[in-house]
Formats: sequence, C-alpha cells, structure tokens
Amino acid sequence: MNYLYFEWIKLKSRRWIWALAAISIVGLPVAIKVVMGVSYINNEVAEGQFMEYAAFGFISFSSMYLFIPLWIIVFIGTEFGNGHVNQVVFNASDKDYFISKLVYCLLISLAYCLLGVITMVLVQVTAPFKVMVSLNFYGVFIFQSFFTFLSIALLFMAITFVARSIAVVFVSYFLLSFTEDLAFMFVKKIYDTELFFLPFHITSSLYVKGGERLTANYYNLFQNFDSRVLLLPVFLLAILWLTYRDFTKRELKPLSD
Amino acid sequence: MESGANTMLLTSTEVSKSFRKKLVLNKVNFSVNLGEIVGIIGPNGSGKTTLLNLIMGLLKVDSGTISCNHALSAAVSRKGFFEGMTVYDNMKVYAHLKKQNLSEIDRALELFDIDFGKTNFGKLSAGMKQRVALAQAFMGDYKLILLDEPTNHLDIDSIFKLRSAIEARKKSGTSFILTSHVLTELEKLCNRALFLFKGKIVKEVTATDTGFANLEEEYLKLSVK
Repeated sequence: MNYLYFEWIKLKSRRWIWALAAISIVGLPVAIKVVMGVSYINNEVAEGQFMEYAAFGFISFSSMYLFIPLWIIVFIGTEFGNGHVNQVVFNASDKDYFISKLVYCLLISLAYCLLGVITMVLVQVTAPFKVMVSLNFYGVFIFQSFFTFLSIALLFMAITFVARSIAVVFVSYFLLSFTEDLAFMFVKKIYDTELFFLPFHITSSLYVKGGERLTANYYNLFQNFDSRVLLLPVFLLAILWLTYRDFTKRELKPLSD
Repeated sequence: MESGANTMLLTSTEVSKSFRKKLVLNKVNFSVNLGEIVGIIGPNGSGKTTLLNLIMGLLKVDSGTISCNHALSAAVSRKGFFEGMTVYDNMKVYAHLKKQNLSEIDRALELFDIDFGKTNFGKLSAGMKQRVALAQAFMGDYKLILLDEPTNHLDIDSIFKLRSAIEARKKSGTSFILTSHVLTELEKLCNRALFLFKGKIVKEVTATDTGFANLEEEYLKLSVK
C-alpha cells in the first residue's frame, strides 16, 4: 500500500480541506506579522530577538487548537466516526491504517514547517528595520519546528486513536492542557521542581526552554542543549507503542446501518 | 465456474460472541463453498450483522474460529465513505485499498448504473448510497462477497441490477453470503439458507433443482417455536 498516495487522495479530494488550509496558509503568516508589528511598536521585543520571537510565535501558534491539533483530530476523528477505519482494517490491515496515519502526521508536520519558513522570510523581509539573520537560524528553525510539529501531531494522533471521537478529544485536549499547566506551575512554585515530562511540556521542549509554553523563551537547542530533550523520543515511542497495542487489541464499532 | 463446487471457502466453527455479557452468537457452525450463495435469515438482533463483522475481522470472536481461504469483499453498511468527497473519489480510495486499477471503478459504477460519480457522497439519497456501497463491494475479483441487507433502500430497477450482478458473479465462481429480510429475494438467489435465531443457527435449508420450499413458511414455524 502506498501510504503517501492513500493519504494524499483523501486530503485533496475534499473541498473543505482547502478552506481549512487557506486559514493556515493566510492566517498564520498574517497573525505572526501583526503580532510582531504590534510587539515592536510597543517595545516588547528587542531588535536582536526579533526573529527568535517570531519563531516562537509561529511554532506555538501552530501547535494550538486551530492549527496542527485541528488537522489531526478532525481528520482521524472523522475516519473513526464514519467507519472508514473499519474499511481500511478490513480491506488492508490495522497495521496499514496505523502506518498511514503516521505518514499523515509527517505530511502535516512538513507542510507546517514549510509554512514556517515562508513566514520567517516574510517577517524578515517586511520587518520595520533591517534584520540580519544567518542561514544557521533557518536551519535550527527548520529542525526545531519540524520535530515539534511532528511530536505534537503524534501526541494528538495517539489521543484521537484512544478516544475515537472528535468531541471527546477536543474536551480532553482542553482539560489535559489546562490541568497540566496548573500542575506544572504549582509544583514549580511549591517544590521548585519542573514536571518536565508532562505530555504538552515535553513536546514543547524542542523550541522553548523547559517546555514552558507560557513563556516566550525560544532557544537554540544546539547552543543551549538540554539533555532532558532526549526523553522526548522515548516518550513518543512509548505513547505510539501503547496506542498501537490498544488499537489492535480493542474492537472497532461494528459496521452496520 | 471453477471446478470443484464443494471446495470450502469459509468455515465458521463453534463461533461465539458476547457484548457486555449478552450472548449474541452461540456456537455458530457453517461453511460456504465455492460458487455458492448462502442466505442468512433471522429477525432483528439475531446476530446476522455481528456474524458478518466477525467474518470481516472487525470484531474478534470470543471462542471458536473463522477460517477463510480467500480475500473477501463486503458491503455491510453505507458507512466508510467520505461525505465531502465525490462518489468517484471515494471509489478511488477503495480502489487503492483493494489494489485495483482505476478501470475497475468505471466497471463497478456501470454495473449499478451510477451516473452520479461527480456528486458528493453526502448529497446522495439512501438508495444511491446503497448502490455506491454495492459497487464498492463488486470492485475486484473476489471469491467471496458479503452483503448485509443489500436491497435496503433500493428501487426496483436497482434490485434487478443487483440480482443480475450476483448471478453473473456466481457463474464465474464467486460465493456470496447474503442477509435479508426479503425472503422472496433470498429464495431467488440462494443455494442454501441458514436460519439464525437468538444467536444460534437453528435450521439449514438447501435449495433443490426446483428451488426452495417456502422460506416464509419455514421462518414462521421457527419464530413461533
């Protein structure tokens, strides 16, 4: 089975997807441009930090509700809801479906990474002052954004596979994210310990120090290497393995009218 | 038709299935031979659809085994199609899944007189959706096709088309498992009828050269018991 082609025909054949894509393609660069403009006028961002601030904005915006999570939750959730998963499992196999969704996450991450590069170029070219950025900045940005997006996409893929319902995943996302931020904040304040390993923190740790998404602390992973980041692939592999196990062991809803 | 009409294609041995401790299928035994059409008759909730889902591997048996020598095709539901996608694009997804050429799509659409390939699946009537589901099942050269209440929502012309499609495929050696509440339809098509009541096959009737004895009468007798 050609997973890439399989995902692509499903993506390109639905008209509403192009509307959704337009929101990202137009909305994200414009939003970042506006935020950067306002922040500069209000002296909230130093000229030397301008591009880092834009990079942080792009990655964190993309990782939120309307962007990467939406693409993952709505697509995979719809396939569970409309019986498509059953048909793929029947006509191919559960393994094929799981792999096709990994490929889908890869596609979405690549698309957002590309959009990120375009946005960064746009921010640089239209900045209110001359911005000097090395190629190295772009290299690091591509690495950090791609792997952050992939981690976020895989995390949401896992949640959607377990919950199997769009509504349940969105509510879980909201509750999990909210509870996690609270827990992180309280434990840090009271015990001076960072709960770095919590799902949303660890997946953000590639671009923001300590995974603290509420601070705009974008960092160059290669210059300020935090060894705790190495836990991320282990965490993702464990999550994916458990999700795959659950998917193959748990029955799908029977197909009937 | 291939030689050896008695070649076993599918065997269900002592298959049981429960949902939340409610026994839905209780030690179901039956087999399907090459080129044979087997009808499963039973009231709502008797376990017909569950049995088909088990054969498809979408549900797991609690005990017993189902073995099948060939790849299957099935139309057990109008689900599994994307509402926001055209009929043709939906069929393209299935052609890829079933490893079929795109020419198979045209053949299958033609078989059920589907001239609304460019219409979004979500905009179709229930009968049109049913025809698309059937066309999907008839794509490819499968030796066994499962059809769950295939005449549901179909108009008379489409029922005739379905009947001739089944008969044509039977001639080329394809076997079918059909469930239906329309007993006269099963009488016309099937070689064998299995009566499934409360999860158990309570009777098996084989058609003779002159067809079945009255299935309706048989059903009434069994349902009174």
